[in-house]
Amino acid sequence: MSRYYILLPAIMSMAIIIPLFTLIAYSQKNVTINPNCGTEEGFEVTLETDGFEPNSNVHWDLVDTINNTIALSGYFTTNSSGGFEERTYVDDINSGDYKIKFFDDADTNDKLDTNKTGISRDFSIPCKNQ
Amino acid sequence: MKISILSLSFIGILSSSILFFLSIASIYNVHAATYDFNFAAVGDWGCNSNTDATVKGIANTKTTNKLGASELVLGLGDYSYQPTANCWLSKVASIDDNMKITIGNHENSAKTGFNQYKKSFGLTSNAYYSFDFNNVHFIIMNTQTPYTVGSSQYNFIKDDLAKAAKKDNTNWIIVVMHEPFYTSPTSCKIASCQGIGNLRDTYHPLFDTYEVDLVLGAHLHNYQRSFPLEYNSASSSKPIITSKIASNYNDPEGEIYVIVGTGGINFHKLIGKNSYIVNQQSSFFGHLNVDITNKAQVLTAKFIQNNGKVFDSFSITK
Repeated sequence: MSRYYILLPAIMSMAIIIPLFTLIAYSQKNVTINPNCGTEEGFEVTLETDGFEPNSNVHWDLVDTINNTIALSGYFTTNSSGGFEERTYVDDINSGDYKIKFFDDADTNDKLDTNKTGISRDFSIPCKNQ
Repeated sequence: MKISILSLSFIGILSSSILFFLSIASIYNVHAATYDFNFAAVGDWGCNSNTDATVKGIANTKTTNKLGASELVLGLGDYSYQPTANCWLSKVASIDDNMKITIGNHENSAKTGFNQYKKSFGLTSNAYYSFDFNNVHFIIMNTQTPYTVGSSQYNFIKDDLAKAAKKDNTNWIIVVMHEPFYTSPTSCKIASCQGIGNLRDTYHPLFDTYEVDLVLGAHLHNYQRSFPLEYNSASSSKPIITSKIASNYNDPEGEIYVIVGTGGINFHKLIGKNSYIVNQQSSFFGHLNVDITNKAQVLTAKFIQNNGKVFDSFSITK
């Protein structure tokens, strides 16, 4: 009987830690932007994400990092895993350094939902190595 | 016996009356069906899940408008944003039975699928044309080919407007083009996103002369609807607002200009609002849905978001 009392704290720790790690891993947001740079004339871009609120909406803004102004924006509906893979087109904007910011926006009001966090990735026009 | 004869006569008269009224009603219904119809309009579609939602929104309008699903769909330019039209043509397959399109800057060359759009929609190489749908005359302009005074497009539009204005059975003239005359300031940085001065100086006076009612455009990836506007020769970027009423007009002077660039590709954020704009938004994809009713005397337009909500509505009565 006493042996079980010794194991109890370890079992309880496991019961807390395993779900916590699972939750963190599940809600880890990932974003891939392909390509993440291009010409001023315009080009198609694929946005791939996961880890957002499932079956909801994710808003994205292409933000000019110098002026902090939004150049383009949009939203996509997430699948049951909280992700999407979608195409948009980047043109009508000036050369410069940008960030693409993604955040949960269930009601597509262009605002980050309460108790949610966003994620951003660098983007540039033209590509740095050109 | 006398009563029976009277009864039979009464029944005969009653039957004849019923038949008479039924035939009148039937004739009226045929006429109502001829006059009344519904159309949808939107541009800047792209090829993603928002495009699918826009197509679904147009197909589902039977639940939100008086007349059922759209009998005519107008593409306001910029479709697949790819080297071919394949993806977009596949996306709109369920609503393209009676679809008319204008050419945008993303499909105006062989490298961007122009020949495919031309073939699919029976366009000429110039891609400007006109057609009647019941009592509405539609003129589809092509802002991607020469349009200045003396061009073949200018001559066509001027002659076509003059003929349409004279027709007894034309209640409405609606012009469709991709790049617009007027816009509020947006995040779009290219010159054509500022409202094209040369285009409006050439055509807005013609639209006033021949009493065009509605001008539909896109190019700006957002929704904007103006008051009725007349051309201002002193300062053409500041058109004359002929009525400050927000939504229900009684045959106003000038035309209402609507930008519906909300097909799904993305948004150009609105960063201000010009005084001639009534309503505008750059947060929701959706389409403009228009009912022509009351023997073609009333035009009712609604911007329906892809989530089914109506953002803006207005009507014109003649």
